[in-house]
Amino acid sequence: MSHRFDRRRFLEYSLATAASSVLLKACASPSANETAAEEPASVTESGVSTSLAIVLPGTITDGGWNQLGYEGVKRAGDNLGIEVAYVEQVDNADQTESLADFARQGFAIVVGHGGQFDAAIEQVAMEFPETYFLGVNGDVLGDNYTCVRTNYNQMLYLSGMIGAAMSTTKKMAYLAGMEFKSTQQQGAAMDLGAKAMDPEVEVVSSFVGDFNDIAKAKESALALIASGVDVIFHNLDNSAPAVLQACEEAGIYAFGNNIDQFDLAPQAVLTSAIQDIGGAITLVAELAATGEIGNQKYVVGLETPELVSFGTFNEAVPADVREKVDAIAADMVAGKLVFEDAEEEGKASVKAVTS
Amino acid sequence: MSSIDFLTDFLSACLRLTVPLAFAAIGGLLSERSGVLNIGLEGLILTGAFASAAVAFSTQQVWLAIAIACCAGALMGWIHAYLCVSLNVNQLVSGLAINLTAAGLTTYGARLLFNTGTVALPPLSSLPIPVLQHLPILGVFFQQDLLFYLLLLLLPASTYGLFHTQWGLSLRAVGNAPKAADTAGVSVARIRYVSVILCGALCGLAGAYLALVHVQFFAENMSAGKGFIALAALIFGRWHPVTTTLACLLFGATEALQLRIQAFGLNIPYQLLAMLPYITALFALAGLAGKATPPAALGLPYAKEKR
Repeated sequence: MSHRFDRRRFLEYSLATAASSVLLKACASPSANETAAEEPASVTESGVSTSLAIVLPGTITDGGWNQLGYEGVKRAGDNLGIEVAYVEQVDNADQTESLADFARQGFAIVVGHGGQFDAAIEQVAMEFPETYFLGVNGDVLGDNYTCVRTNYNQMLYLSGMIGAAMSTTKKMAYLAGMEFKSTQQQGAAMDLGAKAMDPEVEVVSSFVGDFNDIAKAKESALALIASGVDVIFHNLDNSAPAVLQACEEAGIYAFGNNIDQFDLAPQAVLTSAIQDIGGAITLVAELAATGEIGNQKYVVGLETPELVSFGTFNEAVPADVREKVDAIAADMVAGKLVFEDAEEEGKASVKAVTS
Repeated sequence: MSSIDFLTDFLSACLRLTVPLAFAAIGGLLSERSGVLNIGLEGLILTGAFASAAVAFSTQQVWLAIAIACCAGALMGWIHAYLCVSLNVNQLVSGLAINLTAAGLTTYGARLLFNTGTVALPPLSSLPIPVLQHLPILGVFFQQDLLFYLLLLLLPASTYGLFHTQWGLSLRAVGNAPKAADTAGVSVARIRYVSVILCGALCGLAGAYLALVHVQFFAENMSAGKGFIALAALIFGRWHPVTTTLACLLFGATEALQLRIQAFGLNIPYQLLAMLPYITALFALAGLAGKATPPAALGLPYAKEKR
């Protein structure tokens, strides 16, 4: 019954405890804050007293959404000479905690990188009135938070037009990681563009349930292809190469997103909807850091071609299609074709308003 | 699309989604049958995926990559065995440590080795079986790669091994009544080491399948919860290789089905569909599949001297 003090057992236990604590410590906080120090607030030459942090849903090496966001805040930090920190792979359940954690550490500007952060930002912003929150591709506005997004409706509308011209089955798909307001709108905008080109074309929206599950994303694409879809617009992070590759192998068309992804699948990719969200973040984060930010939502579209434009075009896209697309794009820049929020069957949607 | 085409496509998707689950689940059941709880399946799969990707990427040797994945899995399995069997660490904690370590190390390794987060890999080519591969629908079973055929061999082999050999008897005895087994002259520690290492090797194969056959890319954290689904499958399958594999097939099929329901544009919320496999598992565990009784000594370290 009574445990004698056993030297060997004691050694084994303490060794195991030490080993597992080292192991746990080594990986419990996966790559947080590369440069985070105890006192993040710093006064710089420009007289800006601030610091900047970003919460990312994926990895900073995904060659897309998250990498752009990370590079965006880093650039803002370099330009302003302020401190920058990030945390990767934050699940939906940990969003509020990650945002609040940076706010508690004293970061002046905290960025939630993705429309899925909207609810978390609204919740956390109330608790930390001193911190400024920025929702990327979100749709929130308040005293100490706003959103910045690219005008994805423009890109999806135009992509819908190009896709509809190329589709032979008259069935296209919008494939995104998760369903929230901006992804619902993107699917709807693509449908509008497609129908403007060819009223018979249909666009299905499909959701993987995860921006980073590469196996599931590939299966989703294969399921779409099997159902007769022959043009896919993806909105995925590090699963994108597998999806584009699947399109290439199946001999169907696809679009690149966020950056120029033409080289990943040169047969399949019609063009890429380049949306340098990083540049947009830099823009707005600098405004927030210098206190010049207005009480508005920031939307960056085709009128800023260095941030939003189309990438390399596939030779398969006929010249007359490109001309049509260019004409509509010019209308968008001139403000003759704008998009308004709408709702359809309980889902977010958009409508095109021409003037 | 004709219904035959649909079924063929559906079945091949089911198989692709099932194979990695089945490898990991069979590995997990060997470990658990011997009394070592293993929630580290997820980390072991990820280790296998990374090891195979790293070798395939740098040498272009697919078979070498699979062998190394197997060894890397076995090595991680050995660490789990060492912590649980030799050091009597809490088996849940050890499994968790395996998961976290694998996630951290593979991400770190991937960033050292590959320039981008997602890297293309040379695929393992499929090995169609003549004549049979042209069968309608069922032909899908005969257009697979060697890892799939290996799984088909593993099924009867593990069932026979577990229930009809002395090794299997010892393994089950160690998991149910380690004291009795010890009294009968069976080395509890050795049996547990062997089963946990085997578990690691099989999970390594699961990871290699994922990286080299299914996706043909490596992405950070690409195991994406498969280890935990395999864990559910082996409980659902009541620690028997055949029923466990059927459970994996059920999970694979619901997943393939939910993706197809979305693709055909039926107006059902996708979250509901994504829940399908888990709901099935819940119902099954709640008693539809009969009462699940785990090995009696599951999760309990065995110390010889303790009275």
